[in-house]
Amino acid sequence: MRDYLRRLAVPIAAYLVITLVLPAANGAATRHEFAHHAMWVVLGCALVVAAIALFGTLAEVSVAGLRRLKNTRTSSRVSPRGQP
Amino acid sequence: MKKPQVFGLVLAAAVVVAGKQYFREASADDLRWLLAPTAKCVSVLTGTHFVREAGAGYVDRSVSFEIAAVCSGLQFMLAAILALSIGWLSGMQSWKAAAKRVAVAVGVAYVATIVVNTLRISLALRMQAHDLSGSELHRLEGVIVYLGGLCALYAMARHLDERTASHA
Repeated sequence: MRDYLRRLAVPIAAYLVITLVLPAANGAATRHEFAHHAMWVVLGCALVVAAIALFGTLAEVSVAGLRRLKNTRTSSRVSPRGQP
Repeated sequence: MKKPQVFGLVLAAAVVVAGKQYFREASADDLRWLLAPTAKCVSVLTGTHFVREAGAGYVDRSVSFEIAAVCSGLQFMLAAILALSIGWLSGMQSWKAAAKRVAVAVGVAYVATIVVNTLRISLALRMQAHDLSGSELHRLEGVIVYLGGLCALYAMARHLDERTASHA
């Protein structure tokens, strides 16, 4: 999970800067709608991170399983030592 | 951090700040360079017929949908310019390379904006057709599609950059 967050840190930070930090710096934070908007942005971010972490972990587990299966098959064809 | 890399970051930040300033005052007509190709792509992808209405943006009355100035995707484009510039920082070893990379980031971000925004609006049209058209749902869909697209774009750009560096 930490690895995914590290990889996604730049696009997420860039998105938050554009959608929340810069408008807040321009005085939008005092408006009521801004808190509402910020809530949806943060919720959306959380959902995207959770989805990427979930599917990424599933993909890694699947790839590792396939590799293990491939290695097992390869080793069964290796001749014992000393034999041609 | 080397001086050209600082220059690249400052250049990207200047583009973003100028873009935000432009977006604050831009009308739908000003944003035609983003709205027109997006409306065209959405029309082709979904079989709708968006036509320009001066001052409003692009409208298809048969599906009761409007692509207005706020739907232009300029915010996504600015976020993409920033993310790509940071992601390509390692390649900014000279002043020329830094300027070139920021320029390429602007071009890539423009194309990505049209692609991602087309997907977002097409999905919104689908949701509307299935009576899932609440403003909060539309907002959440926008955040998910834009951020998901930004993460995918960043991952592709980093992958391409690492492959180019390893071949050089």
